[in-house]
Order: sequence, then structure tokens, then C-alpha cells
Amino acid sequence: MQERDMVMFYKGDFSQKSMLPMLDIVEYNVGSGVSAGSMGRKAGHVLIELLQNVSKHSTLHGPEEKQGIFVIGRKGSRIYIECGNLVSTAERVFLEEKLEFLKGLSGEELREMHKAAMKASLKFESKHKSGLGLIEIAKASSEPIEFLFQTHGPDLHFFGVHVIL
Amino acid sequence: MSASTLYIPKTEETPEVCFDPEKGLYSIRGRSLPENAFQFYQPILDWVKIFAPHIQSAFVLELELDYFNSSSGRFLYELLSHLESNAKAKNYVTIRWFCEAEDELMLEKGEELSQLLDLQFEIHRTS
Repeated sequence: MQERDMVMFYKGDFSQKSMLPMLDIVEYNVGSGVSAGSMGRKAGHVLIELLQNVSKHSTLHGPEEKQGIFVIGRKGSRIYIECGNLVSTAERVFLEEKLEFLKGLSGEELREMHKAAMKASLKFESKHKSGLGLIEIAKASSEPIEFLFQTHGPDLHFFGVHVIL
Repeated sequence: MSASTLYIPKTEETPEVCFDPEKGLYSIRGRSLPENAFQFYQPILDWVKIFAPHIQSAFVLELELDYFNSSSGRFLYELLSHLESNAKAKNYVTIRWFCEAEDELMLEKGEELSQLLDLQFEIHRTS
């Protein structure tokens, strides 16, 4: 753990009920020891978006059983967040396409994309997958989002994502 | 126009909402992280849709959020768009966005929203 300078490691239930109490701990743990005062909050925000966007795609075990892992750590003066869980093939296709596209965008392009997605969201039904959360994660990252998929079965894939703030 | 007061107490994942026409106080405060933001914001949107066309004097909406997820952001934008799209009301509407002085993230989110809207939008940094 020291080698990778981990601040937090969590494996278990990814449901909202389990994650909400964790926010303050993340904010406190990440916030202490870094000069930028708002880094803890930023980490909490990105983590929530990751969990809500990623675990939203994790329908394999039913809503009551959203399992996953996340790691938060320091990399020099930066904070990294890694998150992983299982997704279906349809979810993999959606995530892969969105993330691959976002990877190639500059900070300015991401801000413009966010604006456009916000405007467009008003025209869609509330349940439309706008990808806003993924854009917000990309916007908050200082480097392009890294991700990987590992196939575990015909409709079962491990999805891992690595974000550096 | 008499509109009833809309009050929603805050929870661990949703903000306190107070829209009180009698006192002229309108605010949303706290964190907004519901998984189903539509369900939470629907009554607020309904209230604003009915009330907005009847705004005849200064309407100040105070937003003091310390966290909100992307889907809450989408509905906050929709809510403010309703105020904006009502031409008669627009001149009377002021949005006051409060964020902690060190909170760059909430400052940025306030600025982003203000750029999307043609409304008087004040950003106040609290200590």
C-alpha cells in the first residue's frame, strides 16, 4: 500500500447507501496532506460520479448488490482514483464508445462538450443516457481517463477506470 | 398570484428546498446527490413552472450547494431555464450562487451555469 501511496482502499457494496457516509472520509483523507484545499472535495465529486455512472451500468447482480472496488492514492502532487466493477456487454459498448471519444478531447473541447450536453439534456427524456457524468469526470481529470475491459463471460466484463486529478 | 410554500427538508443525499412566496425567500442548500434526480427535482420544477410566469417583482433564488452530481446539475439547469425562458419574469430574477472561498469545483460549476443562462447571476464566495 505504501508503495503506491494509497490513501484509501475499498472493496464491497457500491450502492448509494454504502457510499454516502464514505464521502466525508474521502474528503478528509484526501484533503489532508495536499496543499490545494479543494482537492478533497474534487476527489469526492469524481468518486461519486464514477460510482453513480459506473455502478449505474452494473445491473448484473440487481440493484441491491452492486459490488466493486476503488482505490484512492497520491501520485506526486496529484490524486489518483481507480475504480472497477462488472458490467454487461451492452454497458461495455456504451462506456467504451463514450470514454474513447472523450479521451481525444482537450480541456477546452471538454468544456464546450459539457455545455452542449447540458443544453441537449433539456430536450431529452429524464432517463436518457446523456453521458454528462462521464464528461464531468473527464473535465476534472488532469490527464486523459485510462480504462480497460476484461471479458469474463459471454455477457460479463470487468471494467476498470483510472483517473488522475 | 398566490402560490403555496414548497418546503423539502434536507437529507443525507438531497438539499433543503425552501420556496416561500409569502416571505419572498427562495433557496436550495446542501448536497444534491440523489441517484434518481428526476424524482427529487420534479416537484420543484412543477412549482417553478406554475410560479415563474407570475413573477412581478424581485425574485432572488439562493443556491448554496456543497456537492451536486451531474444529474442534479442537469435539473438545476432545467429549473433555471424555466425562470429564464419566461421573458416577463427574466428581468426580475437574480440567482445568488454561494460557494466556499476555497471550493474551486463549486465556483467552476457556478460559472458554467451562469454561462448557459441569460439571467442575472451573482457568485458569492464565503469564508
